[in-house]
Amino acid sequence: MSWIEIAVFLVLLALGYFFGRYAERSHYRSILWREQESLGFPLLTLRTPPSSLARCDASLVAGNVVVSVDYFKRFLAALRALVGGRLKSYESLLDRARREAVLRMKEQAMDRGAVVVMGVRIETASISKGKGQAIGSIEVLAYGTAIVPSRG
Amino acid sequence: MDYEPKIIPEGINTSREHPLREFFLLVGGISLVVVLLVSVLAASADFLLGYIPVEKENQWFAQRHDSSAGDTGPAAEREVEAYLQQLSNRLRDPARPGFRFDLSLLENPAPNAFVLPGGHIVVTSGLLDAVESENGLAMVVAHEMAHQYHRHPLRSLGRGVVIALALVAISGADGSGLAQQFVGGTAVLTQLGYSREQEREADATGLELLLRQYGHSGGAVEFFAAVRELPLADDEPPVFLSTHPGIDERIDMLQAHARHNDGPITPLPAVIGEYLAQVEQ
Repeated sequence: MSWIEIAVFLVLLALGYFFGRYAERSHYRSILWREQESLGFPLLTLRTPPSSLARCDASLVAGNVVVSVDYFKRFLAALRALVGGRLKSYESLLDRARREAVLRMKEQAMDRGAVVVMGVRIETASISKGKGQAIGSIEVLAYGTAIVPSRG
Repeated sequence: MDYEPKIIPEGINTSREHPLREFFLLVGGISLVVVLLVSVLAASADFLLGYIPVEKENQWFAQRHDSSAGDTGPAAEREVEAYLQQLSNRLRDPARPGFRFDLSLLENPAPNAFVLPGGHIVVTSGLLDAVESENGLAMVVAHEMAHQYHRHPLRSLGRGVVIALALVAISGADGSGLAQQFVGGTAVLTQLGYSREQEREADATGLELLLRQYGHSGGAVEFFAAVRELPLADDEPPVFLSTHPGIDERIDMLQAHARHNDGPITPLPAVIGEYLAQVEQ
């Protein structure tokens, strides 16, 4: 082990911490603001629309997000894996990815003039699966049926 | 059907705890456990390996290392090796029989010497070039012999094996490279502390051997002074990353224990000059 290796490790850790934290804070600010903005727009997990909406147009809306793990979070998670317990450093990533995916789906529905999204489902995709340590990202896909009142 | 918008409170799916708090707790806790584990294993290995008779060690590591007899004229090399062997015989501690020393020469410009289990001491041609007198050379040889008197080579070997096995047992189960690197790095830093302690011990005992032979400690710092003048010396890593204590600390220690520093200095035999001239060609 040399001086250089330790320095590289500390620099990566600091970069991961400061950039990761900055990204997380600004992302949460944006999420909270947009959630507040679109609070009045209903998302339902019901599969069938209520009878009042039986004569509307329906279309698929979806939002997907991929958030990368930073070096600092990965290091915390690696240490956590030795002793067990909540992987707090990854929990916020999943929270951000889920809410961002839902917001994107919602924004798409609002753009189409929908009044509600029915049958909302949330899934994780798997880009990084099987790549081991190569990527390390969290992927969330949210989709549903946007109900748009038919014209005329 | 009525829809009533509600805001879901924060902090259900995430933690409000500052990430640095978790970081310092994990880093501190895990390093503490690794340091304790390495210390306990190292102390046990040190303790138990001391019970292996030196005769057994000599038997296990009896194989003589084949010094590379190249084009440099094996005659001069053999003569220098015979001189080194004779020098180490003079430095022996009569109170500690059973130890065997086998000196050999390695053609390498870096001034260095090391000892392997079984009492095999290797001296580089660069070291012969760096010292000015027999006393300076004797200090380095005595230092390596002191390592063997304290059974350091065997102890380091045993300690390394035990700690490596323990690390594989801990981090081998979890495939995460990062955790493995961190645990391994902490263990290495802890082990380096033992290595530096051994060097201090060997310096002290080596100086005793030197004093017994020559009656004074003149020339003891020659080698360290020469190393300090090397261009490499500026790149010396900080002490906590090094296997050896800092050069200045070692010179200070030697000078603090030095006695009658002004005794007669024995010159190096002529054959060393001949050998070095051949090596340089």
